[in-house]
This record gives sequence, C-alpha cells and structure tokens, in this order.
Amino acid sequence: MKFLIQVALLSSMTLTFAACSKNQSTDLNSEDVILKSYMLIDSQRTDEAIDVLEIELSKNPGNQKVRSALASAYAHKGGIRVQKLVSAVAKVEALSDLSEAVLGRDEGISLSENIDKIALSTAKIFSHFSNVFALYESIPTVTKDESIYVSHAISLLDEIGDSIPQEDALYRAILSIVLFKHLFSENLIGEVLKTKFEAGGCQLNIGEINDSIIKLGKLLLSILRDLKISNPSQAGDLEKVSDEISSTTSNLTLATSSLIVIDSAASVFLQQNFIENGLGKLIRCGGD
Amino acid sequence: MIKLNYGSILSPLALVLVVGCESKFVESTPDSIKIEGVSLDERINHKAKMDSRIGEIEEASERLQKIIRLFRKVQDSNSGYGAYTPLDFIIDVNSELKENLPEIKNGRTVRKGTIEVPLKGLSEDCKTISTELESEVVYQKSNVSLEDQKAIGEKLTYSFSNCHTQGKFVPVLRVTWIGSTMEFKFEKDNTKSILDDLIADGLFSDSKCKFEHYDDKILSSVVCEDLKANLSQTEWALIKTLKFKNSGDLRLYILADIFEGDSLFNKKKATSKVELFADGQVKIDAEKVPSSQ
Repeated sequence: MKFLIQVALLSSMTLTFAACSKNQSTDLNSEDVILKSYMLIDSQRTDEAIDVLEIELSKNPGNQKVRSALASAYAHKGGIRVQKLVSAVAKVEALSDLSEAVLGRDEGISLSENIDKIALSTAKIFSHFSNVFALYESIPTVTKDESIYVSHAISLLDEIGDSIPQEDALYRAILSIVLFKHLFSENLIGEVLKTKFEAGGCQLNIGEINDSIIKLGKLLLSILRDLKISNPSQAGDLEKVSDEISSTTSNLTLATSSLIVIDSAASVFLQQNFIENGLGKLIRCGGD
Repeated sequence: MIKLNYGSILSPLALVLVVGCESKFVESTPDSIKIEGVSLDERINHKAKMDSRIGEIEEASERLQKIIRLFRKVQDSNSGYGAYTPLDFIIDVNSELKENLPEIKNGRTVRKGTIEVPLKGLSEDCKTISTELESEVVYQKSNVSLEDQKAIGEKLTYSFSNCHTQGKFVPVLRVTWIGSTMEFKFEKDNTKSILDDLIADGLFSDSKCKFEHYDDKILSSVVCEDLKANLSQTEWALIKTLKFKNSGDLRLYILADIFEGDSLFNKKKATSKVELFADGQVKIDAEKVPSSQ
C-alpha cells in the first residue's frame, strides 16, 4: 500500500517537476531517475520510462528501488494502471481465506467410489480458484501480449529475492492475480459445440488439464508467499494453506490421470462438467 | 488406540489368521521416554519436524496406493481386492509413532513405539513388534572430516524387532530427502522377517520409489521399480516400472509381469503395459505368455 501511495504522490507531483525535467542531465542520481520515470509513466510515456530505468539498473544492478520501479513500468506497459488496483488492494486480505477453497481429501475411499467426486471436484476447483478471490472482478484483464509484460514485471520483483519490501511483495501478489486471471481464461475458458460433443470423438486433454492445474497452483502459491511477506501475522495460517494447495494440486493431477485411464463413463461426465462451466479448452474433439 | 486396517483387505494367508481378532498398537508410557538432558520444548520442536516428514511419507504412500489401485482396476474392472501390504503397515505405524515424543541420541532423533499383533496362532513373544523411527542428517559424500561435511538432506529409517529377529532392530524402510526429492527403499528380507505373519509371501520385494517435486512442493513425478501388488486371490503383479509425470508426452507408464499362484508356485501369465499420453490417449496392452512356458 505504501508503494501505491508513493506512486500516487509522485504522480501528483508531475506538474511541479515537469518544468525541471527538461533541464535534468544524464547524471541524475537513482532517486531522481525513479522520480523522472514515474513522471514519464504518468504522461503515458511508458517506453521512455522503461529505457531510463533499464539504463539506471544496468549502472546500479543492486538498487532494488530502481528494479521495483522498472517492474512497475513494465506492469504499466502491460495495462496495469495503479488506479485500477486500489480497490483490489483494499480487499486483498480476503485472499487469506483460501483454505475454504481447498478440497477435502478422499482418504479411505476406493478409486471406484471416488469417480464422481473426482469428476465434480476437478471441475469445481477451477471455479474455486476464481471465486475465492473477492477482488477477482476488480482485477483488470490483460491481453496475451500485455501478459508478457506483467510476467516480466513479476520476474523483476522476483530478482529482489528474500529482501523484497512488504509493499513490493503485495504489489507482486496483485500482478500475480492479474496473471492468474489471464491464464485462467487463456488456458481454460472456451466453448465446445454441443453437436461436436454429441457426435462423440471428444476426449479430455490430460496434458492441458494437468499443466493448467499446476500453472494455476504455482501461481496461487506465489500469491500466498507474497501475502505471507506482506502480512507476517498471518504467516502460519498461510503456510498451512500453501501446503494444502501443493497437496491438492498434486492429488488432482493424479486423480485426473487415473480417471481417464480407468473410467470412460466418468471421463464423459467430466467433459460435460467442463463444458457446462465453460472450460472447453480442456477438451479436444476430433480435428481440433 | 489404532487398529491395523487389514481387516477388509486381507491376503488369503492373513485371512485365516486374523478373523475374529482386533489388532492394536500398545501405547508407550511416559516412563519409556528418556529425557537425557533434552528440554521438553526441544523435543516438541523435533516432534513437529518429524511429524511433518511423517506426513510427507503418508501422503506419498497414499499416492502410490492410488496408482496401484488404478493398475489393479485396469487389470480387472470388477476387482475390489487388495491385500495388506508393507505400505499399509508403514501407514499404520506412522499413526502410532506420531503419538509419541522423540528421544534425542547423539544428534539423532528417535521415536519408539510398540505394535501388538493379535493374530491367533502366534506365540506370545511373536505378538509384539517394537518400532524405532530414526532421523539423521545426510551429508555430501567427501573425504573431509565429519565436522566439515556439508549437510544435503535428511533420512528417516524405520526399524523393527520381533521374535524372528531375536530382539535385534532391523531396518525395513529408508526414506531420504535430498532437495525436493524423496526416495523410498524397502529391504525385502528384513520386511519379510518382520511381517511374515501379516503379509502374503508373494508381496515382499526390494521396491524403491522416487518422488520428485517442484520447488513449491507440487508433485512433479513418481518413478518406482519392483513394486508388488496382488490382483486377486490367485494373481499378483510385479510392477517392474511405474512412472507418473506431470510434464512431457507420456504422463503415465506402467509395465508389469502378471503371475498366478502363491509363494510356492508362481507362473508368469502375461505382461501388461498401461500408457497415458498427454493428449488423453490411453493404451492398454496385455501380452499373454504361451502356456508351454
């Protein structure tokens, strides 16, 4: 939050500094460069801001404030405007309630007894992943190209390592949620024509399903890691949720694989569930 | 009180012996826990760490059981049969061990427990299996002195003693963690000497499994060799290779020899192969061995 307030304050200072900026030479110190870059971002000159910050970072690779500003510039280029995230940040604590989204284990139940449960659960997990975010609706949607810049912004913040400030960790969590939303729609959301499905020859694309489960699971874990950093008082609880998500993600990949091998009826049932939930990209029909 | 869960999935051998019996683990008394100058807090800390590892072993065992059940189902879709195995025994033992605080000896953490096997027909001294779970640090192999060696992982060893081992503890299962990889290794002969009364003879093997994880603990792959599983009262499988992967074109691969008979008479019936590809394609091949062999 502190970071966002800083950005807002810096933006409001744009006019004050605008006149001075023309006179500033190349020997600006890092603080000045960061300030200048925010002014450029605020003037919608994001590419110039990125250039300025890239040069500064190459001179001072250890300056994490510059790295963090550069991440912010790339996020901006990826369509992430600070203003759009303010309401999301206000609700971000809702993420700590992720445990409700985690599926119960199927201990002691035989595989055959579990078929329906697995099928339903697999379809439900994706909905949970999205519904659990109270802030999901307020997170901006990015295009495929924009998502590349958001990913790069996240990887820049990753380079800061364990010493990442709390506000930057929170910012990274929000960027990760943006990416999560993008991956969710890019990898899963799609329609399958009813006629095609009814004609038969469709099958679950297990590689796509499991790869998506893992990608989304990993992203959820990175979000939780950042929430732990930004909210140390909840670290213990969040750690438990993280373990549950790792376990559930692993079990789901195993369950979907088993399901496809042993039970064609359940496989059809799962396909229907995916179609009803708009997750058509997980199904491959003849000729697709 | 924990009950061994073989009641519903008994091997033919054990079935005869177990009917009408209730098994349990005898709980350790506080007197059996040696303090040896280690504070309660420290032991509770060690317990928490060990509990976490035991939890990982349980989770891995359950995943392995699921894959084995999958293979059993593929061989016979009506089969609900499953005998008590060394893996089941380890899961039961874990439940008991988690109840007790560990002792700390020479930098090693040891947890003890006692299992009572109330099978009819066993002599009194064969009804008790003593358990030790020992944790130790794994060091990088090098020629430098112990103090200078670099710790690279952790190992838990399950050892047991009973009437067949004359009170001597023998290692049955070793579980090693190095980085994000966990490895299981059963010692066939020792497992047999401890569990001979509980488990059908054909189900012992020097099986080993490797569980690899991504950095965030999500399962990346499972690779096993020489696993044994019963398929029915008269058939069992030696799973020579089992691979489950969360990447690449081949996501599941199981290659097994199917045998019929018991420990005294085994005859290879067929070779079975199960493959699941990333695009969802499933291939199940069974090659029967000609009856003359």
